[in-house]
Amino acid sequence: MSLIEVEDLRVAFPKAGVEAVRGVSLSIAPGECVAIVGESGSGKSVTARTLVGLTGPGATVTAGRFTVKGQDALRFGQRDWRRLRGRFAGLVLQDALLSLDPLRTVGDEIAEVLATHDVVSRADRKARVIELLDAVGVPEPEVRARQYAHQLSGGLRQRALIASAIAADPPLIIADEPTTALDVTVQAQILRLLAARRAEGTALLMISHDLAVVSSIADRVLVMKDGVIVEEGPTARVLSAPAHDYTRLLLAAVPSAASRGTRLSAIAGGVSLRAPLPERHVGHGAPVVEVSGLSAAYGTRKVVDDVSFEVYPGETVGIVGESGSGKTTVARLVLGLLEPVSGGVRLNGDPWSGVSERRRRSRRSGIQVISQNPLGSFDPRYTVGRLIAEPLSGSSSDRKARVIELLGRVGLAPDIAGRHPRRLSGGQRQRVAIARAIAPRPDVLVCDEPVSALDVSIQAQVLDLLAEIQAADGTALIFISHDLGVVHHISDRVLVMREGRVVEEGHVDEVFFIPKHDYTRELLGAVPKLAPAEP
Amino acid sequence: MTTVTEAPQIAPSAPTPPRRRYGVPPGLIPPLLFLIVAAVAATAPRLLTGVDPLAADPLHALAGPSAGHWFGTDHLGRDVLARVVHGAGHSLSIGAAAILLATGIGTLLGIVAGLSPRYLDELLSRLFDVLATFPELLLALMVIAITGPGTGNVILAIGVAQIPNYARVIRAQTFVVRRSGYVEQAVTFGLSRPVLVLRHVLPNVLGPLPVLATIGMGTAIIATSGLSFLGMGPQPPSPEWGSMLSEARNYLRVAPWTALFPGLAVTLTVISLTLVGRRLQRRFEGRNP
Amino acid sequence: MSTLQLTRRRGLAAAGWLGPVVRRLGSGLAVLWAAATAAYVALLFAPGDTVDVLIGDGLDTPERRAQIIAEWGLDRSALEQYGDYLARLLRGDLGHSYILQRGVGDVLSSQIWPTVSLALTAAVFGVVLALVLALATAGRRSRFGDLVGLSELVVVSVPPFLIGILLLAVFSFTLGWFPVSGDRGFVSLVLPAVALGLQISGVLGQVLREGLERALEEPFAVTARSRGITEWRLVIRHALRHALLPAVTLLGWFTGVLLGGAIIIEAVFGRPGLGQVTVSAVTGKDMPVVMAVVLLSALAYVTVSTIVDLAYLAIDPRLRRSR
Repeated sequence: MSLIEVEDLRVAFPKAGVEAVRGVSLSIAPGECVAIVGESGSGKSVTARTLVGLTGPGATVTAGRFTVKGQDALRFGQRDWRRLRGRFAGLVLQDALLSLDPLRTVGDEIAEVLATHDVVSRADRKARVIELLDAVGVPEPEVRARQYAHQLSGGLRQRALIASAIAADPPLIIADEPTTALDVTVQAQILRLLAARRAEGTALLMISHDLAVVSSIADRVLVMKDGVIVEEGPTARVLSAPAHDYTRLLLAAVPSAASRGTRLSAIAGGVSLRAPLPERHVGHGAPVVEVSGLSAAYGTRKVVDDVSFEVYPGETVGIVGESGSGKTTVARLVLGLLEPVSGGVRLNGDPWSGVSERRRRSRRSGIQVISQNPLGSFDPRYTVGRLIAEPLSGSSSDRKARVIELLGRVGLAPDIAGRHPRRLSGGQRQRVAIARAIAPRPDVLVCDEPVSALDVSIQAQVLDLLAEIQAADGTALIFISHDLGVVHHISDRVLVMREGRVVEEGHVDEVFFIPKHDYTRELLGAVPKLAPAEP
Repeated sequence: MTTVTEAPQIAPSAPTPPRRRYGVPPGLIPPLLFLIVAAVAATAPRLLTGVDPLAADPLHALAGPSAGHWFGTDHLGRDVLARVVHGAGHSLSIGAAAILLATGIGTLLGIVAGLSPRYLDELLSRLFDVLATFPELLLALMVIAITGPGTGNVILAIGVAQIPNYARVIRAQTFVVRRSGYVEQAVTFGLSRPVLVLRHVLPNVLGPLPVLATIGMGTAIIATSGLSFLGMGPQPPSPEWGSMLSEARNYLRVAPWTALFPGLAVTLTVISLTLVGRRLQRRFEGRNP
Repeated sequence: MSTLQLTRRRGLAAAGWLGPVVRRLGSGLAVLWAAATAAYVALLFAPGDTVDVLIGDGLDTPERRAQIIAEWGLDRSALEQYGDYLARLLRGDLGHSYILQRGVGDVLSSQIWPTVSLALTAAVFGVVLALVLALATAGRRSRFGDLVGLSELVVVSVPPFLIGILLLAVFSFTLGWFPVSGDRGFVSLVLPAVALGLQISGVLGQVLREGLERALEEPFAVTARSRGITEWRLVIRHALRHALLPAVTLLGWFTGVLLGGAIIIEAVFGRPGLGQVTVSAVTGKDMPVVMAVVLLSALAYVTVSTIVDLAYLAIDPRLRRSR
């Protein structure tokens, strides 16, 4: 008997006028691992939460059939749902810093499940909490149980969250983007932990935006788009022979070593994938940016330590590292927003750090930035047209014409100039940010996690756009990312950073195919591969 | 096919309704109308009543509402309606002037602190904190103890008492804007510091000021009526809502209308200002990411 | 070995508490000192001769002038005066009222109790009412909730003395349940305390409800629900602590509202207390008394704020680690 069986599930939020899920059917057998993959707004999370009766207020849930453990869930009241939550299915959400109550200890959070479902007697609860923390691989469980979520590292908190989900030993775990906010090495550990639970017989429903993450663990994959399942099947089959165009598009959009030099998104109107990107010329001779022996500190803490590199015209230099590696600080140093403690930056051969801001001002158009959160970099009062025109000079009609031209270059319609960025989608906002960054015709663009907040298909479009602009203008790129696939796809050379230092650098193929440093090897080993799990 | 509707839960409120709305939302029409009437009463009271608010008629003292006197008469036989209408001028202008004073000086101090180097900012912020330890009413009373009662002194008292509040809010706002992504971005365009401050910092700091002032004016009107009630506002016989209420307290048993109408006037004015202010605030917050 | 580690960690946790506590107590004292200085500076820089300001409407004779100059040390250097002033404050000597012909400390101490009991009763009433209404209405869209929301708006928009007048009109004049004025034990405390407490409950209720609703939308609330706990438990065990954080910040402000409100409410109900002392002092320009009341209220504010800061540490573990 299936744990959960649902046919033609529909979830609507009538007040908001949204039908989030439109006819989804799925079943989960005991011990099985099913994954739902889709981009934001696909309805995957709503589907998962509906399965435990947590759709939220104001939602209308209808289904042709909806059974949980063989009982008719359509007749469930709140009391019936409560009995199942935690006991029948445990929920693991993204980022335990937010998903665990920050004002209660980790131990209290786990004990709550034990108390609610009377799993063990009151006297044994404490011991059981420690057993559970131990079981999910938390070292020093007695100490950790008394700590709060903010006192634990990202990986440990996520383990604690999993401990609370499995405390009542449910036959099913529903994991909604369980590794999304985590560094890649920690992600690998959490995935191994979930796989181990599965090996012990617990069924797993994984929700993810990342095909690669689920491919190592799921038996079956359901691809969701706009509230509908467009394709489903065994993981191996879906990955190797996708039947639906959207699945193909998703797979093609994933940047990797193999995608270097090719487009990730389909050209408008065409279906041909992986068309070649325009030729790009990397200049030799004088570098645009020269960084030598750069160090920076916040207070007494050194965050960047002796970093050196050059960037040549038209070249792309990738900087990869996990959170806290100092890569964003390097970006701020190169942009002249932060003064180094020692070492220096030269821009186009002249000193860039260590000079007064007054002397830097006229040269600032030579180096521009694209950040992860474009909305935060836009003055909230400005329209798109005003934003793009700001770094431009010239008469008002000249500037207007340039804005239209720039909008065209980033693939946006001219009428967007009058709109406000808040009314645009994430991808459109990033295009506006790119148009503004290239407006003063810079020699080098610093891109700090420019695609990290975007869905994979949008990410593909933005990466293709950057490549086109680079080929046309000969702009150099400093591309900072935590995503090794993206960096491999776009970069010529790469720097691997850890705790403020560069541990390895070189041509991207060399570094990623024949890593010399242990840390690079560890990083590469932790990246989920788009390959089905070994049987 | 069966349908289940989720049982109501204590939980996230319904998805926020779309923010983009043009025109005046229906809930705001009554408060706006009331504020318009109050503004007319404050600027041109003769349009609303032809009766002299100071004309005493001891023979008809404490008479209930009637066709001749819609709101009745007070203990000197003066028309309550005329006094409420003429009182608007005092109450609203004192409130507005006090808020102008408080926001003007408070904003200036707040911006100076927010843009200053760290040690100066620290010093000014501590000063604001210290001043904020004096309860507003007591600070106002201290000013009046020095200056004596009267309209101008009440404005000064209430205005001064509110300055630390605005200074703190504006300093915090300046601090946030100064460190925002968009100001940092503007640095990369090579803008000079004055241009940066004028073009990006000030407009975004001052943006919420009308909202603060609207809500603050309600507070100021309450404070004004409180001081008048204690006999420290505009001196008799000039009509002011607070002093009317103070006089009415002695005739509550026989003539409750003498308290009812000025009380309604204060309350409705403040509620209207609060409602309008809150709506502005929500629109403003919706604007910022 | 693990027990050893446990004790070590516990010791560390205690140390994590000590630093912030000492720091907050220290800054409380510093603010108090600064407040006393600010009041002193205001007095010195008040328009007119300082002796005139201190006499107020009291009898102005050459002997009294000499007494004031001697008492405030106005003939000595500014620094000496200031040092003297602080020393007097530390001894609890608040000066002399030249109108009442009594020591200020004496005047205040005879009148402080009625005001404190009024403020405390009002605070308890206001907090309990706000808590009950917020818990009863948070997150539920109901007629009752709308009604409570509307009442809160009205209550915060009505001047406190007007509420007092209304209560008087209804419960004293019409129903005759409570005395009209004076201080005759607890019965005469009820209406003034309600009038004052409603102010607080209006603001506090809104803040608590918003805090509860925000907490119930957080991801941790979804996680907690996914464990099968009831909504009531979710509110009590999780959301309430989160809602208390913004509410606790307001407590310092409430002190000001209570003290300021008490002055007006005492006038409405004809109650003895600091309010009446203050009002007559302000009317008579009795500066030493006014200053003493202002300093007293600053003391109350700082005391409450320091307690609030410590309460914050107790509620939010994220603030405990010393940066």
